Amino acid sequence: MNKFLRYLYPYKEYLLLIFLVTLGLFLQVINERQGSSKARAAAFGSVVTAYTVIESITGLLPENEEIENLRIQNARLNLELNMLRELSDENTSLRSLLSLRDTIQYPFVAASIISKLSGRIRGYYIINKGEQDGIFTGMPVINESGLIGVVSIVAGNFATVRTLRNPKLRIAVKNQRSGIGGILEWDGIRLIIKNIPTNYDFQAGDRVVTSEFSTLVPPSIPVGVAAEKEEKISGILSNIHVIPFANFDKARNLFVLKVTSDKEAEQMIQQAGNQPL
Amino acid sequence: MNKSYIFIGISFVLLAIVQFLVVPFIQIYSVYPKIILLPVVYFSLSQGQFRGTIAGFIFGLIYDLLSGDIWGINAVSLTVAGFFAGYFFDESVTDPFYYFRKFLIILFFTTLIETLINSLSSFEGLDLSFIAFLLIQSILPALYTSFIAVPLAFFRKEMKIS
Repeated sequence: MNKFLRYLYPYKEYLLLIFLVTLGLFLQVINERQGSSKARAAAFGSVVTAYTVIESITGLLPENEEIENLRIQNARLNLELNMLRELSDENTSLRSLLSLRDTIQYPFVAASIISKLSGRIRGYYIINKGEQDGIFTGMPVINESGLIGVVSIVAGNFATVRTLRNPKLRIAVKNQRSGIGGILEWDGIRLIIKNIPTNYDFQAGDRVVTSEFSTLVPPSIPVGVAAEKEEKISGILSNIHVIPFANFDKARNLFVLKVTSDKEAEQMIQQAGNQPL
Repeated sequence: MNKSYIFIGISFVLLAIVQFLVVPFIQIYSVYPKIILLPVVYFSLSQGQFRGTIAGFIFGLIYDLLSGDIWGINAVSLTVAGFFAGYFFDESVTDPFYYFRKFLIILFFTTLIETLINSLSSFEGLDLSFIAFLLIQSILPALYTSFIAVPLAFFRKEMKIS
């Protein structure tokens, strides 16, 4: 045994590396389990609670009810303005207007970004509102310009938001002018709507909003503007590049819409998918 | 307990808080420095590869807890970072900042490797070429981190012969 250990001793750094990396990978694997998700939320919550103590001492981000109310009012007015602009632009297509639900009726919770775990690849924000403010996983998050993302983890007073700049978030959107729909996703550099047939009416400059088919977010929330139509090699399909209205780098104040994803619709879609044709 | 361990530990927690709360607001086009690598690289260069690897794992795990990120993701990448930086451990150098250019170069390559490992889990499903991914996710943050570390040159100590 001693001989064996003596043989391994010169490689102790490598063995340690293999052991610790395996341990880290194991932690990642168990990460998504129900129990560990709760533990994660609890750990995250306690850490960020400590942050509020620091925040209250330093007073870096003073909060009061009046400021919060003004922010909510500001967001409502901006969404209303968006809606009015859309109505003005789209007044000829009454049919699509009739199907619009009034987004501004949803209750808001104003929140501030505490931290951004956002590179070009993994886009998350941490906000200072959580379960105690009536926030749950799946609620859409906007700012005054448009859609930001959806809530992914919720702790007592804090939550993480998976932004549109996260490749794991895919949202059903549509062209507000022509009504053509698609799935919006982040490719690491740009937001794109993939595989739109080239002959479909989707032009640069068209406004892109959330679709009625989305089970994650309510319809008609402004998302961005179509910037470019890129034909694929086959020429049959195109990718549409979308420039978001929201500035993800500069965002500080957000609003959580207190609506949860349509779980019944999700279940129906899943059931339909499981049934044989 | 060795005083330098306590010093590095406290430095890490402070830098982790800065990384978590301040760094997101100094990012340039979504490129941000990874300042939590500074104590990992410093520790590995002053204490050796074995201890550096362990410190990387512990620091990474602490940062996972602090940041609400996926558990284990920073633990793995910082473990590898500690291991890599430890290759350059030199017993005769008592202060890793003494040869500061060497320190910056090691920091640059350690950040390059760490950020690459850290973001590989997100690579699947992206339409990026690997070169673009490497540039955006690793090279630019590594340059930014090295740039941020430049003022540390003022903390250089006189070299002691050991």
